[in-house]
Amino acid sequence: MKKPTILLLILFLISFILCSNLYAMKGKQGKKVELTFWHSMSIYQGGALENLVDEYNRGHEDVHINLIFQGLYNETKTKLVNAIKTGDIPDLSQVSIEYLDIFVSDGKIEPLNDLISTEDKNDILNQFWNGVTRGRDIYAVPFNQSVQVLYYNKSAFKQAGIDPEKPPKTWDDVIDYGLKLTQDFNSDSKVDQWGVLISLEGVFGFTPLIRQVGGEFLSEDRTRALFNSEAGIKVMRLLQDMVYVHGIMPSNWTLFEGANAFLGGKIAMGPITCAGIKYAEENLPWELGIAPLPYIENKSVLLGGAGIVVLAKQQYKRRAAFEFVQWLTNRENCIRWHKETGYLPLRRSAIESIELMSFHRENPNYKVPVDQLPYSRPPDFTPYLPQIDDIVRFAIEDIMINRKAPEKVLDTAAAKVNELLTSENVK
Amino acid sequence: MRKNHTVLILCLVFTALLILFPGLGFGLDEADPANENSDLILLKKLQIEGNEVTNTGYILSFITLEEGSSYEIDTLMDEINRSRENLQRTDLFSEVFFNDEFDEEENLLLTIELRERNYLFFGPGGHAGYEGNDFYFRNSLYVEYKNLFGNSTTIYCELGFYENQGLILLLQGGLKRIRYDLELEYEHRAATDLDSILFMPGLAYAVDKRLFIGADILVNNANYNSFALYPYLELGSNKRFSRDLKSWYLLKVSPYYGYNFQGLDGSGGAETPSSFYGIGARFGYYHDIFLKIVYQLKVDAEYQGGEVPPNLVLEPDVRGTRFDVRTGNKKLSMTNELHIPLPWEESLVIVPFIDLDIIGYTDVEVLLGGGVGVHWFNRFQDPLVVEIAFGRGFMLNFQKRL
Repeated sequence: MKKPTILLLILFLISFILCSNLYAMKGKQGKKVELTFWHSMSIYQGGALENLVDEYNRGHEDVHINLIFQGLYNETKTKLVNAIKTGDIPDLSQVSIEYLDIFVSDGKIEPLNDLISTEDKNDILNQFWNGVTRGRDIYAVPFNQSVQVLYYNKSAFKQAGIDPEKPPKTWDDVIDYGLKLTQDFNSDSKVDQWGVLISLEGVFGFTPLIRQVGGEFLSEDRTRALFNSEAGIKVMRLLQDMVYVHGIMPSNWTLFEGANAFLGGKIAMGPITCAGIKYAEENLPWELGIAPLPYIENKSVLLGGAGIVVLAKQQYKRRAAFEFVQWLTNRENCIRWHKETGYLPLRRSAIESIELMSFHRENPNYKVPVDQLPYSRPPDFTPYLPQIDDIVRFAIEDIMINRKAPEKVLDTAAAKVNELLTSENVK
Repeated sequence: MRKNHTVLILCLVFTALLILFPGLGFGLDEADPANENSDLILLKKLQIEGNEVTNTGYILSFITLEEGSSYEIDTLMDEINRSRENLQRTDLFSEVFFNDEFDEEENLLLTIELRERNYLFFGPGGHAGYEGNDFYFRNSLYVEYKNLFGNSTTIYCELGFYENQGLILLLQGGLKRIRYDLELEYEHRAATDLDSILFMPGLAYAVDKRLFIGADILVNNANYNSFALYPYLELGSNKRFSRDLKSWYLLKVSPYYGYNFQGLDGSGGAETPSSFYGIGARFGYYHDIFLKIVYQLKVDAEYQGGEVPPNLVLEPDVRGTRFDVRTGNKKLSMTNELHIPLPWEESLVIVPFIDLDIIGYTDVEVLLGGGVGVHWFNRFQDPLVVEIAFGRGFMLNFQKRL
């Protein structure tokens, strides 16, 4: 074969390939409904959401979703409050379930009751609807929902002579394991590996532990703080003992410090949101184990996360926005979102699907949070939850860092919370 | 091109048959026939969706589930995971999703929903360098289309900016536990006006998920007309099939034997019949260190004996050192690479590397090179490689390494 023949052959092949692709890429032109969607998903979760939205945009020629990252939940909430004041609102927004009451109490968002089908109501688990329902009205569609699970370092377990397939079940087990896992490897009298770190982030860290000893955080009518009960005191004593009696937990690490220490293998166990499972599996330098959140007396985990609120006012936009949310949370996308992030699958049909069951068989870490769903509950909602969270966080720091008596500190915090809740009632 | 085309025609006929009839083969791993046990789930219907390019029949050849068979739930999930892995191995799909429905009689209707990858790749290849007061260029442009005819046939075309041009037709696929490769390579070397044709069909059997036993056959129509057999054993994979896998490896060992035919009618070949032999081994070790940074160690070792055809002798591949001026019958080659994805743009990967080769005949030469590169994984390049390397000279490398 001579050179010109080869060149002709090559040109023919290139033309053939390009023509077939150009044919496949051609699309139709049409007028689109443009929708703005504010979200709070950063790093890899943001990438997973972008992929889903891109797919929706490709498959729906009449609608285009503009996805805009507005910072984490707190920042998005602030921006949304300001946007509502100026009238420059997005058509859709992700809102953390803890902040939803701020918008509900001011009447800034409308219920979605009429838009949600009976099929969706029955298929999405009640636990998730509870997070976005106030009174009898549903104000958001649950989207990214999570519970805390126990992350543990299997490599550290093996090194300490603990079977990595038998993680601790109770907090007493955590103490026993922690005594073996807390190590000063270089004998310089400084701990190189801590047994456990519990980042008690105010309401969200404290509530499930109080429920595990039969207590409650707030009264059912949301008029009184109950966290200063015997249950609350028992929990705080348990945690204080982990630091000062057993010496298995650092007292003054922030969440950020704790996360970095965990990443570097300086913490052997810790309760962390299941939304980080994929990131942890892909990025941790050691073998990751996931176990159910340990319990004290009863099993209980807190359900957190966010829902999507529809803010569009025009009917055609509102309908298009809701159709997008329905697509985003359909059975297939529930499964994909769970596999791509670690967030919980929302639908009964997804949890029972063969696709997810076979995925869990190969990836058992992802199954652990799903198994915790029967004893998961959202926090005690009130529009004052962010302020209460601050009060409780300071109280916990006082107990853990300054080693103050839990009774006195919790009573003081409860008094401040009661004042807030009373002012709400008066209002 | 030489007149003796019989071998080539036979090869082309064989290639065409496999392209046109990808379902040729024999069924292995037949599922148990349905029975009446109520604990079993009857797979009443199995269908494929989302394949715009890939043939449904070709996809079904990777599925270890059989329509009309019954399965226990654990077996069903195992077979789904095995089928998923088989499909992922083809590199044709970005997503494989098994969607289940049950009819009124609780029979399973399974739909495999696929998302196909992009199949067109193009970009620069080869390298350019400076060594011993000379500039040398082996740059090229390549176009690659995967999944021609919908059965993963890959056509790879390279247009050289130096004296050689070539064309590679590659067919890869699998049928249940059988994996086949078919490579047809043509090259024209302008400097010597020499055409060479290599035809390599190969067949392998999966003993289990990680162990393959197979053999490649080489038909070489170049300076010599040769035939060689390369049986091999392959353990592990260079692909990461599970995200919780921190380390993975590939080991391949292949002894081989070849025969050079006597030339006919002055059309080339050895002056007298002769033979050659050798053994090659490849070890690849991959470790996810931290934050998606992956360390890769690749070791290749090969020894040859007998009268090896000139186009099959060993050449070094240390980046930064000219490849084509050194040869040997024994070679030890080691590559160390770190793959560091940028945290804010994971499609860009920084790759520092160190290469070491020991090659030669009686006396061996030690070659050392190192450098850094950027690998950009985008829709049309998988990846686009730009590397700066220093060895016996300087090299700008664009060639992707397998």
